Amino acid sequence: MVIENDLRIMAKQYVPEGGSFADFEAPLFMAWQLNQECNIACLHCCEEAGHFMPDTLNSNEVANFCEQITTMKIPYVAISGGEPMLHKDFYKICEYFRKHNISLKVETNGLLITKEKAKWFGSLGFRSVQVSVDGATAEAHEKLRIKGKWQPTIDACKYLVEAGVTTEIVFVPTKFNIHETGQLIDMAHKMGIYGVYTGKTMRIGRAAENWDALCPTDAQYEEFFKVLKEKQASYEGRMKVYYYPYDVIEELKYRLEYPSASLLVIPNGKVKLIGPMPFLCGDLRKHTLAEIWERYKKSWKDPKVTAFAKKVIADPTMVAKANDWVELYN
Amino acid sequence: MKFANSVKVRSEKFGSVVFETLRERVFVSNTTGADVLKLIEDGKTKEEIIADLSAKYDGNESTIKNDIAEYFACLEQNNLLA
Repeated sequence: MVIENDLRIMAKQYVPEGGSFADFEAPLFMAWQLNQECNIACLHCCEEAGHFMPDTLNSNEVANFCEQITTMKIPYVAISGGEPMLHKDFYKICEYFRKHNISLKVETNGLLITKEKAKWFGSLGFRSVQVSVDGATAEAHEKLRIKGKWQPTIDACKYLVEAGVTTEIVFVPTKFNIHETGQLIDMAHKMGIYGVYTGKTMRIGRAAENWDALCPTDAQYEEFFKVLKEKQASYEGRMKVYYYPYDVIEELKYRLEYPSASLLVIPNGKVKLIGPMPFLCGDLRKHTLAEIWERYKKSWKDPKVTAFAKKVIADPTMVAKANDWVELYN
Repeated sequence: MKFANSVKVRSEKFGSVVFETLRERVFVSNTTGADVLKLIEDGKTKEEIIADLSAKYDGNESTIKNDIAEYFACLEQNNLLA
C-alpha cells in the first residue's frame, strides 16, 4: 500500500502539480456574473455595469444552470454582478447552492444589506460575503463609486460581522483613494473583517475609459505595495491581507501557461475564457456545462486566443477590448 | 472525523481533489489517499480507517498505521479537518 504521505499542495492555483487543469473532470470554481444591473455607477467598473442586459438568463435557464453545477459537483461558486442582490432570483439561487453544500461567495456593494438581510446570510453559512469598500473615508469612496454611499456600506459590513458572516472587503486602488489603503486595513480589523483583498486596477470596461484619471502613478503603487507588505505582516494570524502583486498582463501571461480550473459565466449565459480577453468558449443556451468545460480546455490552444494574447502583451491598451466578445464556437 | 466546513472533496480519475475554499487552496491526492478521504467523509474514526485500509490493502498494519498518521498530520497542518 502506498499512501502519499502528504497531500500535494498545488503550487499553481487550481492546476494539479505535475499535471494540468485539463486533468479535472469538472471546474473547481464557477464565477457567475448574475446580472448587469447595478444601483451605482463606479468609475472603475470592469463589467461596465448599470443597465439591464436584455438577454439575461431567465428563471428557468438559471435553475437549469444551477442544477448542472450541482450535477458536475463544482465545489465553489462566486456570485457577482452588476449588483447581484438586485436579481429577482438571487435569494432562491443562494438557498439552492447552500442546500447542496456548495461553498458560496457573494460579491456585493453592500447597499442592500440590512440587519435582516445580514441575518439571512448568516443563517445560510456562506463561505463569505465580499463587500466593495474603496476608501477609509466617504470622500474617497464616493468619488469613485458614483451614487455609492460609504456609511451604509460600512454599516453593511458591521451587520454581516454581527450576524457571524465571514466578511471580506475588496479595495480597488486609484489616484483618488490609494493613500487610504493602510487606514482602511486598520479600520477593517477593528470591524472584525476576515480579510482585505486588493491589487492593481484592471484596465477593462469603465476603468479603461477613465484610465488617465484613475490609474495610480508608479510612485503611488510603490508606496501602496510597501504599505500592504507591512500590514500583511502586522495582521498575520489575525486578519488576512491579500494583495495580488501582478497586473493584468502578468496575469494573462501566467494563465496562458497555466489556465485555471474555473469558468466565468456572464449574465446572458455565455462563458468567457478569462476576464481580460474577449473570447467566449461556450453558451449555456447552446451547450451543456460539461460540453463547455471541454470547449474551455481546447480554447486555450486556439490560435485566435494565443495571437490576441500576444498582441495584448505587446500593447496592454488592448485589454480595453475585453468586453467586445468574440465567440470561439458557431 | 470530519472535514472543516470550507473543505470540499471530489473524486477524480487520478484520485481526489481537496479544495479548501476559504483560503482557496487546492490539494490533490492519489487513489489510495482518496480512499482515506472518502472514509473521513463517511465519518469514520481514525481507528476504523486503519482497520478498513488494512483489510483492503496487503501490508503490515503498523506500516499502514504510520502512513495514515502522517497523512492525518498533513490534513491537520493544512487546517482541513473540523
